[in-house]
Amino acid sequence: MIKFDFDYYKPDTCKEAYELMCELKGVNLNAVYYAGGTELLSNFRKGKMTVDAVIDLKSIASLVGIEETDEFYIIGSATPLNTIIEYPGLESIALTIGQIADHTIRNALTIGGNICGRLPYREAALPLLALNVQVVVYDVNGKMTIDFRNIFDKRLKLEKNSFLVQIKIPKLINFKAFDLRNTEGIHVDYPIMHQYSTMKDNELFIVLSGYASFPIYEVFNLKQLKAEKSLEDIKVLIMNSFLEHAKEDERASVAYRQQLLCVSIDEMLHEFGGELID
Amino acid sequence: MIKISGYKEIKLSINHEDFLVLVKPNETLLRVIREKLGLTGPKSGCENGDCGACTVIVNDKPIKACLVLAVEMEGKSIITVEGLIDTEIQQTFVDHSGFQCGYCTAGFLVNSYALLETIPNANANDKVEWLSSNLCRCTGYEGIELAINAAQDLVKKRKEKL
Repeated sequence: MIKFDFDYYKPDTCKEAYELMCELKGVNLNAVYYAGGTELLSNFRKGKMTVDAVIDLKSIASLVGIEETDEFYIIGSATPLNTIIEYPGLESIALTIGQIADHTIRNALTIGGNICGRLPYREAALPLLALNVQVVVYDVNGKMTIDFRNIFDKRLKLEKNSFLVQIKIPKLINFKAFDLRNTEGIHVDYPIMHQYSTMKDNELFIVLSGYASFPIYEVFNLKQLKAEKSLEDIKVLIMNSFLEHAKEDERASVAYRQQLLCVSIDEMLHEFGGELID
Repeated sequence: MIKISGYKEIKLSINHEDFLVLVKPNETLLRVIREKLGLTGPKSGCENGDCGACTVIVNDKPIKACLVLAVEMEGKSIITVEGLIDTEIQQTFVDHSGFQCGYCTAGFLVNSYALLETIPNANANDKVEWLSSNLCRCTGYEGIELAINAAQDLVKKRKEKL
């Protein structure tokens, strides 16, 4: 049971939604954008969060569903994860986001909600960071396309009242991916550590969720890695980039997370190793 | 743009029947179905999206009714466990003792029904993937698995006849 009242708005356009948010904030009302609602309603019920209004984005056509151009799959930010997972051609991100929550939840949980929510894991961001996709945001100037990596630093850093509209996944992209997710027990749980890595062009990209208090990533130049003497040297170099960020919580210690990382990096190097040693 | 502030009468289509119901924006679909419409099949378990006892089908997809607002559901087709009368999955849960205390049963029935209607040839991985959304605290999973496998044979036969 949600113990406080709020108003419910369902705008039809990005402009309406943005202007409404400005208007509500302008009179000191606490409003939030709303899509799948899975995280917000849970926080409302627990009393962790109260609002005066929710602005449901699901009637805005550009935010819901998947379109294709010659170059991109364009995913509306209010598209449920299962819609993305089941869409032919989006296998590059389906494996990773298919591990978030459970199947039924993923019929409601949206990709934008997962990225922009308060939970620190934001696992849908992992492949988007790795592939350095472009995203469309709506702000005071209207729609704007930005590189995802330029606006994601621990969380999505959007201008006041702005929101994520679309995610553009490039087609015909050739890369190797590595994905390893560790939970405390059953697989339907938050990750103690979720590593996603890609090797493409001249970069090895490694991003971690659950390991630190927020998703963290590093980009390694393949030529520099290949200059190392052995895979063990490469492993030490990679480990040193992440070691200090390991967090301690009730589910795992710093040392445990560092050991998980060590094992995970070993497995990744085993998969990618042949191309890292000349 | 739709704005709802305070009570509003909305029309919900549940089990192919329309209901007019007065709701506020802060009421979840689960609470409205149970407390205002008297359909007590969907259960209030964790109300946090973890247990799956509240699962209903919305536009052919299972969702957790505790994590969706009733005001979002206008114009959508909702199926609760009460709508599964005389289905294969209902009978096979009885035949194979697919329940113990029964609290999780409605959620398992609804999710299993949605699975078999969506993927009649669901393999073991599909079943684990879909049904991991539901918890049985009695750990009666063996009976549930037997019931789903038996229902799958019957659903496939029905669909082959079409």
